[in-house]
Amino acid sequence: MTWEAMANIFQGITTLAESFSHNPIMAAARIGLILLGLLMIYLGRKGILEALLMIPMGLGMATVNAAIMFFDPLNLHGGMGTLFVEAQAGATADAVKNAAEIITILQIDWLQPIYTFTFSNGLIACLVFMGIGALLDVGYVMARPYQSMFIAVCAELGTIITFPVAQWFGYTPQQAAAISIVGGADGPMVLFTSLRLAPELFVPIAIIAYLYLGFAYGGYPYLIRLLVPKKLLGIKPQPPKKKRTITSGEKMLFAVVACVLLSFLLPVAAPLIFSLFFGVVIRESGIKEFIDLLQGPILYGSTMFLGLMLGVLCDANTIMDPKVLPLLLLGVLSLLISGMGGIGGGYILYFVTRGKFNPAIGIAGVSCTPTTSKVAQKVVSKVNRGAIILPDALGANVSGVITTAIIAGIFCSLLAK
Amino acid sequence: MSGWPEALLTYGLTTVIAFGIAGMIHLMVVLLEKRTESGKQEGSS
Repeated sequence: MTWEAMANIFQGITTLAESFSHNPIMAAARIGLILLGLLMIYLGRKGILEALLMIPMGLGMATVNAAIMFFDPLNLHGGMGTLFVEAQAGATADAVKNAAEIITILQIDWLQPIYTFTFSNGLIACLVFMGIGALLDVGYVMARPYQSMFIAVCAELGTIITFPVAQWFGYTPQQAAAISIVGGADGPMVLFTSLRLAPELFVPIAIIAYLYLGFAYGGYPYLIRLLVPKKLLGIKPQPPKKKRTITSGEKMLFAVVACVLLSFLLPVAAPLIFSLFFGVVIRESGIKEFIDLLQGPILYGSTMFLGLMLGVLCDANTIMDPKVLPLLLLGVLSLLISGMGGIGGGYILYFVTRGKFNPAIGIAGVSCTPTTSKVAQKVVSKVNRGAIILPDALGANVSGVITTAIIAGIFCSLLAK
Repeated sequence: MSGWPEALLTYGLTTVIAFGIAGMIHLMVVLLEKRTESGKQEGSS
């Protein structure tokens, strides 16, 4: 047995050693990403970050950076690659070459069929949205429509401000729009917009968006505590003046009208709008089998593959692209300003209602459903156990999904190449 | 810094559409309430 044979067997080690001699930064990035993946699994398991995404994403990230071998059938990465997925297959300007590349890679990489048939056409985003729709109770928005929409509009501030800032960083308007939609904190919307407007940045934007959505789960409580004093955190929301139960038929009617109306106004975002309201309609229709299907296998199946795929796409080559580093900053900026905007909206309502509105509800305008609502309730409950803000927060949360869909639709129509 | 006109246009349109939907919901709830009330009155008379 020669050293050459040994090196050929343990290609993960050999490629790492070779990277250290030719490109030490890339080798260090590979090790760093393996460690980051392991950390994500740990933080997900501990409940500090969103376990549903972080565990599959962390394992995918750690494994894909470990499993690099001397294999590059499309000659895209200097002779090294994996047997997982090739996001750049079929991204050339030549349609015939693209088709040949995709057919080749579909027969080699085991996760390529999931990427090609559910990611690159936005299907996975729509499936997640159907599942989310089946969990949404639109009754919370219907009980307080103006309040919920006001907070949601305020919580889009990050999306709006990041758009020109990203252009200042040198991104094209299309790329800037795809980056800024991270501020809406709605994963499927980010996938959809980046695929429509900036497919060349789809992978890094999607990775960063989901990474930050996980961090938002851990980071937003600190933002709330920083911006809202304890005295205000304990405010109990006022019960609605006229308490009237909204029937499932009324919720269904709203979902149908809103779906048709929004699709009529913004046809570009119609697949996402339809998917969301389809979930809502199924939920309110009472068809138990469909509800179980959407809330269980479809939502959790697509979330699991989404996390896994995003982790697998986190290879050192993608992350070390010079265009990716500013994305890390812009993603944080976008989510931070959106969170501040939402809480700012909460403060406006606090003053308008003369101290009867809890400003912490504002964070729920950031449409990471239902995470931001849960985060707000958790922070408030620590101060005042009797303050139940969840219904108000969920109203703002559902409205946030709607406003993000509106912005995505406007961006896609306004900036389509 | 370019991009502000598009950003402000997007924000303006989003605000108008969002409050348009809120108005639609409000109208829908009011109409449904009236229908329920008139149904109750018809039932009692």
